[in-house]
Amino acid sequence: MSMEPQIGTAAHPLGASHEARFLDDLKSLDPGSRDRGVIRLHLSRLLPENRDKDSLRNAETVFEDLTRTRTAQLYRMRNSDLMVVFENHETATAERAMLKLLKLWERDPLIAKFKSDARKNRLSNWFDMKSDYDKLLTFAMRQAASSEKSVRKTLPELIAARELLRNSPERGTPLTPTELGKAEDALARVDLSSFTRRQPVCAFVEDGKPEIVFTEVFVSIADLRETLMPRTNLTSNPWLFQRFTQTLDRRVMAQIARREDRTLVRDGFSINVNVSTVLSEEFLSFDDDFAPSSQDVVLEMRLEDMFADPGSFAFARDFVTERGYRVCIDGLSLETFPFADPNRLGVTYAKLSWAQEMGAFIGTEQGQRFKEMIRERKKGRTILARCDSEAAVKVGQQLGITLFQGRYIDALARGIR
Amino acid sequence: MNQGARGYQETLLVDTLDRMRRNPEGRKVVHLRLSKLLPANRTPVRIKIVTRMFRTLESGRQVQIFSLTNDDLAMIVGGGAQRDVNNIIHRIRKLFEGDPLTLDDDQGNDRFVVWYDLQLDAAMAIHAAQQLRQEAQGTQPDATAPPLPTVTPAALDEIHKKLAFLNVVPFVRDQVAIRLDAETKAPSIEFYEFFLSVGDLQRVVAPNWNLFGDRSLFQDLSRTMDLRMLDIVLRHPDARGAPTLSLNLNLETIFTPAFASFLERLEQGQKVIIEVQAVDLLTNFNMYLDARNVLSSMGHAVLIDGLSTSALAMLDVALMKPDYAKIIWAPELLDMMDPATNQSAAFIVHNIGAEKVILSRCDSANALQWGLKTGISVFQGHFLDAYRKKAPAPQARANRLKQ
Repeated sequence: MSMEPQIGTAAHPLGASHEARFLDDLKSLDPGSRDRGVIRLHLSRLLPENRDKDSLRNAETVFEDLTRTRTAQLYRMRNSDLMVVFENHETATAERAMLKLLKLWERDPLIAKFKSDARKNRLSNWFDMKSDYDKLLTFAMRQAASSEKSVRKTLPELIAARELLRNSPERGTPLTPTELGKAEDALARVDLSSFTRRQPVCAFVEDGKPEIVFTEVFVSIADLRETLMPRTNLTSNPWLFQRFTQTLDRRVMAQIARREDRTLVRDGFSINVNVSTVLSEEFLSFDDDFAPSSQDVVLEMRLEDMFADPGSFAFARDFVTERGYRVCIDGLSLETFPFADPNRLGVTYAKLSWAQEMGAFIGTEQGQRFKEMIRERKKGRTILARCDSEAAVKVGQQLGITLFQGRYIDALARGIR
Repeated sequence: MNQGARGYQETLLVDTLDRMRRNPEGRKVVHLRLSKLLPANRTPVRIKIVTRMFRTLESGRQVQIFSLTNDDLAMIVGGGAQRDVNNIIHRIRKLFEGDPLTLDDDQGNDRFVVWYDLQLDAAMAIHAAQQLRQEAQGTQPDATAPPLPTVTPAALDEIHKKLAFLNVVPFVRDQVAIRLDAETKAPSIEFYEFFLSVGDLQRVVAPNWNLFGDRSLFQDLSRTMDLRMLDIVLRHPDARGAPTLSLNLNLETIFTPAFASFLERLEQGQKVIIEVQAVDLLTNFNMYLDARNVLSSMGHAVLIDGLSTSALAMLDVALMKPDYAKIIWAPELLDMMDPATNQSAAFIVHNIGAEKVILSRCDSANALQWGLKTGISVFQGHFLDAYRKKAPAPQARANRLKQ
């Protein structure tokens, strides 16, 4: 059964928008209303003469009984394939429509041998929305992603897109230096403990039982922003935001040092730091409190920060490694992960953020490359973060990842603490 | 004499050594000449970190540490701790491995660490300590003007505003990139790089602030500098008729109307190379991909700027597929020549593509020699500026095309 994305040379004019809509509809379908069947009609496999406009329209017409009553939706793919999503109580109608199509193209070699069974033929694949949901979602994402990539934007388009983003009111006003100054002042007064979150990083061993490796202690920037500066878009300016996080780093270190939370020290914990934070007086005082047991302290640093001044990073890394800390490269995306080689950077972990698209590249060449990369980096282990579903863990495991973090893991870990 | 007095630690050192000379018991003195490190490596926090690395040995009473006025470190080390101290020193050398101080001098002497065996060289050790004391007592505290305070977020908005309305034409500088013919070594101008003299700008827009003290804040200021540069750079005499010019920009600047308008004002056939920093690229990776695509579709190019030896060792630049990569010349590149490892500089250059590499800050014939041997043919730096006069004036291809 083929779920490979297919892109014909002449894309169907509605294809790109229908593919995007198909993905949106799948995503917004709540688990309670998955009582549906899905047919993929491989119209692209028909002989060219059977694929003219009128024939393609026929494929839509046979489902009219269902589309008219809105018990089915059709989505045209760029390669002219048709996705039919129908409600399960209409299965018989859908099967009848399918038989009509087989009859219509019975001379086409694709159909020749299999023309009497609505489900077993080479023109169609049938899916059950409930049991095949992940597979369908993966397919939809792959189609939509490849559709986006095939459209290269021009400079005026990119400028317009950026201006639009900058001025979109729901994102808030961009952070200015003055605003930053105010935020830093406010930060000095606010009690951070109500914004502090903990999230374990767990190892999944063969039998599937998670084991906590360390717990990340961090401040919820979203909640903090909501309180300190609800109308400001903190992340719109990466440079000023970085400076804000440096101020935050110091507060968090001081807070941890004060609290003397023994469970943290026992289980091991991680904090987010900038390179400049490690080379500060505040870190030296933090080190006074934690260095003796620091085998269990992980410092999470961002890749871009490491390369802001690679010499300082190398110094900081050697210093903290010497003191017994471990370093984790934080906040990696699919795009930046290949550049964050823990062996080359001399660190222990690299943390990749889960993204829906990852499901789509299992079995693809890109997926294979990722898998190899993760295997080669055995020493610098990969953590898959932001896992919000079992699917994320499954995909991660298929890529050879053994360490996980995220809302889904939180739920599992509550049972083992 | 109280602890705050000038030369207190040095006096303590001299006195302690004097007491010990009759009964050295296998003790040695070690002098770490941290004061000779490059200023960038000699920050107070780094000195503190180095000192701290020995502190755990202090509790066993085997090691006595003296933090000297000039940032040097002296330690009296008992026989039982000398191996530990040596190990730590070894690691400290690694921390400063980019600093020339950790390389031996021409005679093969260690310039960073000096050991004295109190059994044999007590007199020399005491003499050295006395000299240090004399120097410490002679130093005038606050002899120089206090350094400018690092710019604050609150002050930065005002500086942005000043910069936005300042005529920056007088602050534009340019430097050539020279291509040397592989056979004949004949020079020709590859492109002109334009930039704003930030030191001069600072004196005008922020005379009371140190703009470089906080990297993030400086980076934010550079966004406004970018826009000013795009506005006026084409008025520079060297920019007229130059077939290729390069500019240092933030990636986000490429996606502004100011950049589009700059491109419109280029002469026909004029090519632009945009130099971006690795930190910017890793912060905005998708922007980098967009920039590379969109620039190359218009015949322009992206260059990854400022690649130091440590950046090269840690980052797979080839994987970023830039049009050009600019490597900063440093003598350590010579040590990275072992072709057996895939971290050697030659291997890295080869992977990126030697024809895409520009060797910058070349200050000696060694730099050129190394570059040419590695297959690099485009160079930048003071050593090359002499070629600027010799090199043929840029062929005004743009003008010719128009005629």
